[in-house]
Amino acid sequence: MLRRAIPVLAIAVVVSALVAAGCKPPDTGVTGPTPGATGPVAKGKAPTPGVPAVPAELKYPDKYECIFDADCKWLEGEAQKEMNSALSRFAEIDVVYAHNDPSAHGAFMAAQQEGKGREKTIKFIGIDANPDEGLRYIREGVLSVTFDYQTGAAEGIKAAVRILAAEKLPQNITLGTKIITPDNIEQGGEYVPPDAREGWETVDVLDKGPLPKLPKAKYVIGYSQCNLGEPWRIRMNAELQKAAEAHPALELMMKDAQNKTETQQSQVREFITQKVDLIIISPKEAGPLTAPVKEAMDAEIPVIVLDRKVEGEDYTCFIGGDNVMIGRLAGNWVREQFPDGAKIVELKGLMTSTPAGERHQGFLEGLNAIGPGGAAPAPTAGGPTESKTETGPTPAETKKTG
Amino acid sequence: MPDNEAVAPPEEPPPELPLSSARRVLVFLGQNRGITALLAVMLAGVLFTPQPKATAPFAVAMIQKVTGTGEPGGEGPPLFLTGNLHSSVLYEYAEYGILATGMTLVILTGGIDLSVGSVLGMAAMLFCWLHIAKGYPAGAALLGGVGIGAICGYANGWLVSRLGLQPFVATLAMMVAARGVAKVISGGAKISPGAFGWYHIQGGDPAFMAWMTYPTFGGFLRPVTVLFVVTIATVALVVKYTRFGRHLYAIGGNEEAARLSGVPVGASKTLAYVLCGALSGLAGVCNASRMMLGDPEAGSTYELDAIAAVVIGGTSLAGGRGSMVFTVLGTLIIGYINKILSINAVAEAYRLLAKGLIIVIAVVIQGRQKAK
Amino acid sequence: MAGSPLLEMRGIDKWFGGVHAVSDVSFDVRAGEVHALVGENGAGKSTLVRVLSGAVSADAGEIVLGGKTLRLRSPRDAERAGIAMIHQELSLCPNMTVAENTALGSEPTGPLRLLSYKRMNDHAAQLLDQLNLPLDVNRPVETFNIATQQMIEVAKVLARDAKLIVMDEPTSALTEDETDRLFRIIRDLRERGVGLVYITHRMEEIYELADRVTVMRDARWIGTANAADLPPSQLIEWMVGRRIETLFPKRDVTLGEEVLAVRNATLTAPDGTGRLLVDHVSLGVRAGEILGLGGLRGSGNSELLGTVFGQFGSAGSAEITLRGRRVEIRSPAQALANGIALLTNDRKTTGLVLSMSVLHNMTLASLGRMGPPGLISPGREVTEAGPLRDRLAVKAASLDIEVSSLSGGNQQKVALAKWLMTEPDVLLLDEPTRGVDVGAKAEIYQLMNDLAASGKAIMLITSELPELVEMSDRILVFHRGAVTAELRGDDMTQEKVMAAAMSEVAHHA
Repeated sequence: MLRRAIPVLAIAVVVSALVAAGCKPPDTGVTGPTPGATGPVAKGKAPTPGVPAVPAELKYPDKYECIFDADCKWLEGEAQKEMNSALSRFAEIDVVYAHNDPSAHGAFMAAQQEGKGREKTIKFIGIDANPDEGLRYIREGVLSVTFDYQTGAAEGIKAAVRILAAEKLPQNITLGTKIITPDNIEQGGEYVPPDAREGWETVDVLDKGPLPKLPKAKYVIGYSQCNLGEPWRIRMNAELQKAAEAHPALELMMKDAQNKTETQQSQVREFITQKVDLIIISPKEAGPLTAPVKEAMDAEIPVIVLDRKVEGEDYTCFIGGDNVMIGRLAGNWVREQFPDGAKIVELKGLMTSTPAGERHQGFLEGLNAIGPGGAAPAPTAGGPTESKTETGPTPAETKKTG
Repeated sequence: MPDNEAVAPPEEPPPELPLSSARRVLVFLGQNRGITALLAVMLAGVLFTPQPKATAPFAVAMIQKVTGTGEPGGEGPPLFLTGNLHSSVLYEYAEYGILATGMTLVILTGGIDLSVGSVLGMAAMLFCWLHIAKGYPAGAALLGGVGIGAICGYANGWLVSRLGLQPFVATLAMMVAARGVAKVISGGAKISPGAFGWYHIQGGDPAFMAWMTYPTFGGFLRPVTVLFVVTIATVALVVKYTRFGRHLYAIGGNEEAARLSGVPVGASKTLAYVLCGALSGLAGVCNASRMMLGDPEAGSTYELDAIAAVVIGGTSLAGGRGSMVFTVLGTLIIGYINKILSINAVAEAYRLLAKGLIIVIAVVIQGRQKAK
Repeated sequence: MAGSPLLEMRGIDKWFGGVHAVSDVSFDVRAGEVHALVGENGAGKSTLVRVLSGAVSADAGEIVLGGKTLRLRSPRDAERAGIAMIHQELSLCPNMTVAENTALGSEPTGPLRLLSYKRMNDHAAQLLDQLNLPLDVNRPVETFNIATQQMIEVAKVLARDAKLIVMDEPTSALTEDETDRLFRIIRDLRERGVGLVYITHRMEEIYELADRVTVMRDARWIGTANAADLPPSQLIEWMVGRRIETLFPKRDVTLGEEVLAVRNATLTAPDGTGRLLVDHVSLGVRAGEILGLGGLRGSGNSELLGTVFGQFGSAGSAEITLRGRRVEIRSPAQALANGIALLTNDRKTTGLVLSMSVLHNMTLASLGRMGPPGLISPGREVTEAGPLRDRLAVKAASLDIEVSSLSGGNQQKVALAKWLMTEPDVLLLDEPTRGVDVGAKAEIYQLMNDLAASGKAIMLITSELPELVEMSDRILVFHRGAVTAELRGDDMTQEKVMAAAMSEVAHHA
């Protein structure tokens, strides 16, 4: 009898052991960009080259305590559940840093459904700023701030025009972001230019000089999108089409790879056969798409890569956002809003995907007042050390509307 | 095949020893593994949730107090003993419970339904599209959500009983297809009040959804939870007191013998899948209410939790044995385990490990129970 | 070569639980001999042969092959000793080629211990050559028909250098020509000194092929003789001869009108060969009559009952008339609706749902009557089941325990109770007393008589000849899917039944 009860008690023991084991102080250290593997709704991206090595164990500074963190896999439903747990545990929560707007909204819902009115006292930070989601949440007062994760679509078309006019462009272009708050949303948010990184040009290189006139009357651009399942990609498509409309000579042929690598590979090859003038691609995975892109380049078709990279250097131009910078701006924002310290809940995206890792790392950089390309003094116990030793642009300094 | 058969055990049961009440409790627990497991999980909850304002789990904090190490700071009973936590679990896992209810019906026949998560998502989308976007009254939209779930269930049932496909294969296909439909309904975007200018409901919380998620009953239970309880109670009655319910057990126990006893095997199986689909649709409506919007990704990977809830509760995957009571236990176990892991902010990797191990242990226990 | 004992089994004893399956049997086979092993269902020959092939181990006795005492703990041991068993269900791998199958388990390797396909194919071709079988050794086995597959199995067995081959009813699925071919191969093997044990029910085969014949009955060895010296009547007497027990109740038979008439019942075999398991059988049963269907396993009697009950769906067809009314029966549900019930011969696979309780098993076929439409009233179930349990004297601690924990005999009673609860007009019983102890058997016989007396029509199949002969008012004997004899009155003897069951007699339309 007792023998049969043992395996049942084993459940309790196992749960306990794992809870104890996994139950570290929520201050998980970060050692550089995490290798990218894409998750179900992930926006994977190869690690940003040229990111300077960060001090080995970047932690939350003492003033800004992360009291609760969880991996919400980019999903709103999961974020709601995790936030519920956080709310049950902690009476004081100052700010919630969610890696994307849906998670932030889920956290907001949890606070609202708690019934204690905490949704009004906690500040919620989101990222993405899709027009029908993040921006709307700003207007409705759900989010205190969100950051535009730019799709690079408009920039892609600009680059396309320049390339087709036989201009030479740098191979890697990084996008800036916009800080959007209820105060500045009517003006379209506050634009922040991208950090300078080695081997990368910032996006203003596309604006150097006027856009050239295209020699021919019509150009066909083949555009391969890895999937249309994410709202962010739908936004990218919409922006791409809108930007292309401004150039009547450009005709956009879009193929949706439905999240299948093999489909995307054959789509690129179809474009080559069809002899398009230029290819724009947002690859599902870096490795398998490298060869088709190379074939296109060999066939003298220029290739612009958006958002996710391919391997090696055989492409014309890559344009993508900088998640580390976005995270850092979020961290800076928290420091600004809470100069005396804050209790933070971090709701992470799928941590096996690159953007989540980068947004987390950037956030820690921002909280520790580490600017781009520079190291701050190692955080010591107590005492404000940030404001005086900061390097790099702070959001307040650059005022340039995108 | 030998003509002579082994003779089964003797006809009188062995004489029973008189038992002390302590031993009788142990016997009861041994024979009712589901209850024992739930008690074990709740014990773990008491020991391993922290007190308010503390970080260390309660047991660790107590040890620290006794040995004088560690930081003080927690006051009061561990969070597991607060009503708020239980109200949360019952709220968040009501939709899993409804899924598990439908899944139990299908598993009783010896089949399985992998599409419940996708059907949940599809129904959530349809419900929101009808109610939020198109402005139909909530009742009609609810019927729409449940209805489309039932249609998917019928398709599953047809594939399994008419075409004779393996349930795993048929419902796997439906899982993919339903998720596709969920994304097509709005082109992949979420449907929430005011998302687009042409939506009928702009801003604010739709009244029906607010009502579903408001702690109406004694400030503790939400209508979603009550819906789960009512649903599973109804289905339990159906399974116990209708011919259909009896047929399910017979089919799962020995399909050929059931057929030869006049049981309408094909029709019963199909009806089981239809009900499972309809309940998935209902869970979709609950999910949409909880999130106040329709998410095309809603319900993804929920089918695994639903199956785990059924299996951990004690229903056999082979079919023919089990009950709704088991499913309630299983849902609670899964819900509490998830909650304990979440409250303690356990890292994702450890969570997956924990859940995997628990499922294995639960099935091993079951297996030994069957080996008689 | 012929004449020296190749195999000797001495004093073999085997118990299965409480049943004595083989009782002190001694049996020998000479090299270069075909030795037929004969007995009715349940005589013990299958068990004896399983002991020989290593599938089960004997409780007592020894096996000596070629002078060496064997210790057989597994079929592999037997194989290595040179004993090969060819079952009715062939043990070939359908998707592998002929050569791969013959080499299975002992594949030849070339340099580097890699499979040598050349050696495999050559070896296979050699074997087939010896059997005069020109086949393409590279074709997958499943592309050949059953008869050829059987011969491939023989080749496979030869590849293992078998000295003794046991064949269990090898011709049950073969046509006449294929049987001839098989016999040629068997004779060939005999020439080469292989010892063959040949199990069969078919008289014509025994006398065509066998050198010696051994008969078993009721787990005992009855006799061994040269086939040439053993007249068929003696063979049958050995198989059947026993004192007729007096446990069968007497009854007065008053027959009513014809309740069930079956015309042109046919059942096509599911293996795609087009073979008929039931070959245009017609019969009729009257109210109050117990019609016995004699015949050995596979003869078509069980299959006929199944066809009448709609068990086989569209594979079977029959024109069925109930009390003068034509009815369509294509499924068990329809049969039940028309008042026909079938107690199958295998309660574990087709009779009971072992995971359900005794009560639920009993009511499974009568759920329509257990409450308002669609619903079940547990109280009603108990009120219906209780009396039946008492009537059949089912020994179970309660109605709610799982039926799998009952003894075999009590399980059988539960199955019977299920069908009685449906209150059928026509009761089809296939081995109703299988696994039931003597006392309970008497109860069941009395029950059958009572049912007949109350006007039901009963068809009875039983492999216990005394039971068949004593309980039936009339007997139809089946062989190879058709009725070979109709026996009444004084003609209903065990010997006549067995003779008809084993021979091909011109059947009437």
